Amino acid sequence: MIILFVVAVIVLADRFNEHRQFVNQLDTLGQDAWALVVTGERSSVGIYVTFRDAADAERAGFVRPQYYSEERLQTVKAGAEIRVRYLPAQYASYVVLSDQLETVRAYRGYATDVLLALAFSWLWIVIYPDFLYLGYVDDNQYIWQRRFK
Amino acid sequence: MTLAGFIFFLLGVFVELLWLYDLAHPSAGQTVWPRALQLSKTRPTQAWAALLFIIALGLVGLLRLVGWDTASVSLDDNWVGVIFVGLGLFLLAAGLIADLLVPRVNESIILGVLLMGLFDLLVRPPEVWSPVVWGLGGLQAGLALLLIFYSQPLSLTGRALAYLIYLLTLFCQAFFRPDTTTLFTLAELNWREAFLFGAVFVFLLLHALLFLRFVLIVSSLILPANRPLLVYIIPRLFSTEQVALWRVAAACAVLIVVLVVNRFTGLVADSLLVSFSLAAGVQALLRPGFGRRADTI
Repeated sequence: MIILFVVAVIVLADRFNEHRQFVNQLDTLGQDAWALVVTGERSSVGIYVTFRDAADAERAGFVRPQYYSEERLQTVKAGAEIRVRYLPAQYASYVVLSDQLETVRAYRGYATDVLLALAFSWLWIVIYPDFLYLGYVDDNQYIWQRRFK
Repeated sequence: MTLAGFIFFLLGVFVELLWLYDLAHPSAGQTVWPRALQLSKTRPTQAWAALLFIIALGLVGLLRLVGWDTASVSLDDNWVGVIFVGLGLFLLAAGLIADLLVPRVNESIILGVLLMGLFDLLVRPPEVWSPVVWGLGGLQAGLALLLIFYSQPLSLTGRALAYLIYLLTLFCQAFFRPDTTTLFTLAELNWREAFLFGAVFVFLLLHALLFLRFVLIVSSLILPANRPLLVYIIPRLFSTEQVALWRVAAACAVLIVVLVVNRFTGLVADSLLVSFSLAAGVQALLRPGFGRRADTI
């Protein structure tokens, strides 16, 4: 459980940094374009769209549906034209809806499952904290007696 | 990072591990080091550090002869990955399930780290003064003032909280201040920076892991049944010996002068030297020969 807690903290920090970096890049490097929703199907990667970038090159991108409300996603249907913000190709193929930047910035859904793991492991450790003291107690007998009494 | 730089990085890692082990086991020279490994009867750790330094110099010399010293090394290389995984697992075990490398600190050392952390915050302010930064700065300043003006030794709970803030300061230094992972990708790290980076990497990563462990320990005290366990851990983390306040102030002053001089000379990256100053300051103040110990601050 201690390892689970540590791993969960690392994963949470990693996801937080990744999201923050993505949003910062959208602010500094992002450009807006009109995109065509190709199928409207929500795959594991996202909703597939195509657009022309500033260099007039044809590019593909994905809209992550988890950022937006169901109501807003109703407009992202096959054949629809939507305004998106994209990053240079070497950064990411994900695009976001231009009018929803603040929603994307405030998105914290990436933390839900990790926070559950954190809460579960923390609660377990609070109830059974004995292993935290391994290496710090000369007479481990006390820990084991307490643990298994 | 270049291959030569990576060798000095590893030298920094191993030398720091030796120093930490030495501090965590003050009598290591007499009891723990096997007789065959005692290069010196009185100073085995220093002898090993010197030997490692000579080996590193020899390796870099050899690499230079064959023209491989400037070859690029990255975390994506398999053999580098294996070294890092091994090091990470070792530190994970050392930080989470043992007290193999953790030196026992005292109130005056915590005060020194807090003062250095505050100095760094003022000299290199963050881009945004968010409530989190204000909160952390306020905690550090509050505890520093308490340690300066409250001359009595802290209670068990007080020591636990002070130790938590000390670890939090080091944790933030590791992950939010110097951006140590960026340093690894810099190709132009010179041998001094690579060595310091290795030493800082081990010190801060170990304390960051210990921070997570200690957060769990402190938060588990919400159950009254767990509170007696604190008696077992605090004596292993805290030393009752103190360093006189003027010695802490002198150490901080010396480190600040070093930082200022470095800023003008540009010998190593500022952020790296600040982190190394924290690590070196803690370890220097813990040396038995540093000066007379007083009973209280």
